[in-house]
Amino acid sequence: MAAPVLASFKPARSYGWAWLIGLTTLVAVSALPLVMPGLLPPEERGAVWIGLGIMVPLLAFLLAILASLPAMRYDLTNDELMLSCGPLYRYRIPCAEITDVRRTTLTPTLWSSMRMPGLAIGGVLYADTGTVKMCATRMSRDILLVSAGKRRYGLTPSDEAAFMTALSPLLPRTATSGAAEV
Amino acid sequence: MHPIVPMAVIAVVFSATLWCGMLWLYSGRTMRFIRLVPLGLPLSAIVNMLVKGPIGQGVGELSGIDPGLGLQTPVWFLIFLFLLAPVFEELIKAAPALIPSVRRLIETPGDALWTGMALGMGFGIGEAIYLAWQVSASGAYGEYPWYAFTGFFGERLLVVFMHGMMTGLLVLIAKRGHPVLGYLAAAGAHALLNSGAVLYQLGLAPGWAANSVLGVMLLVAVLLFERIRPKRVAAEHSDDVIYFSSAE
Repeated sequence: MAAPVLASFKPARSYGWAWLIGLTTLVAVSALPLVMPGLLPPEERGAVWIGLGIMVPLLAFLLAILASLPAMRYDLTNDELMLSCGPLYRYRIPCAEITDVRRTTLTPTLWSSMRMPGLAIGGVLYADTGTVKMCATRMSRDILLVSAGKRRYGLTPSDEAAFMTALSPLLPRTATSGAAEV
Repeated sequence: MHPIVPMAVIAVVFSATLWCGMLWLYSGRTMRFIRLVPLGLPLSAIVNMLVKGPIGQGVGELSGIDPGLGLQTPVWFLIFLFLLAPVFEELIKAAPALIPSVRRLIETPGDALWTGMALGMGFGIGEAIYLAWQVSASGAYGEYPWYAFTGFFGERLLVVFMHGMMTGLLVLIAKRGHPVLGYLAAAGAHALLNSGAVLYQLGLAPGWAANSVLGVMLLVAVLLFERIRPKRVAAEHSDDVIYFSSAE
């Protein structure tokens, strides 16, 4: 049985959904020539099926993320921090394993990932930190970076102070805690 | 209205937003280099209409060769036509970097990379407009709907970045004291990038092979970009707010 949720936090507001709608529309328009009769010659039927085999799952994936966005949240239980964005993305971080929590700005790379202005979900490769599991409504600026062992997670709670107030008592006691500008 | 026009508008707006956004983000969230993008916009039309076109036509007339013969064209003339784009486009793309006010912007190798990328991206966006205008003026493909030009969109989107990378490389190497080497590197990369399309046009390679060249070149360009771009310096981490750390 899952541990009871002590506190739940929503992510900061952003226009990431608008970018995602734009991207989804773009993919849908790109797939149009594949489904419109007469646009491609019959000898390219194989290419049409390959194209549809790529485009349809991609569209379904983008639509699933779009539908999941309102469900993005950060839950705290007695011993875990859980980041979730619908059924597709769920990360469970044992509080005892957390070694660092800081607000920082990350530098994205050009490698493909599900990130755009106002949204970053899933594994995203950043130039300065490596791969970060993101569940955030910002791509790079003011990300709350949580390190646990060798893994890193990025989140953007709307009320960061309240989130940290709730998280702090659950963190290991041997460390330095409290906000400090560096 | 020719059906390529709506797709050209989408390609130009999307490319400009995406790549200028990238330039802004990676260059330290500054508009310094974005302001250089418009300098590159007219250069594709200029080099095509005033340099490449007249030279190609002039040499063809002097030697009595019709450039539209495909594989019947003499090999030396095919190579000559093939080299026109890399040789002259790489020169004109970087030319605005010689303007004193632009040169003053280039204080570090990083500045050189961003300046070159801005000029190259401007050229790439201008090239998309020029090509769409050429297709529209010729009336070719007028029977297709606008969404049949997604190939144009995808290719132009990638080529804008590639133009930025090639000019960025040129200005960066020039800033390090080797302008000729920078030019040769940019022109060589440009020739490689065009090789797939040229072989396809001559009927020597299938369409997928031409696209594969673009894909491989894009991969190499991204690898190179991640290697040469300035990384965030330690001092910039001073804004970090540490809430918790178990580090000694």
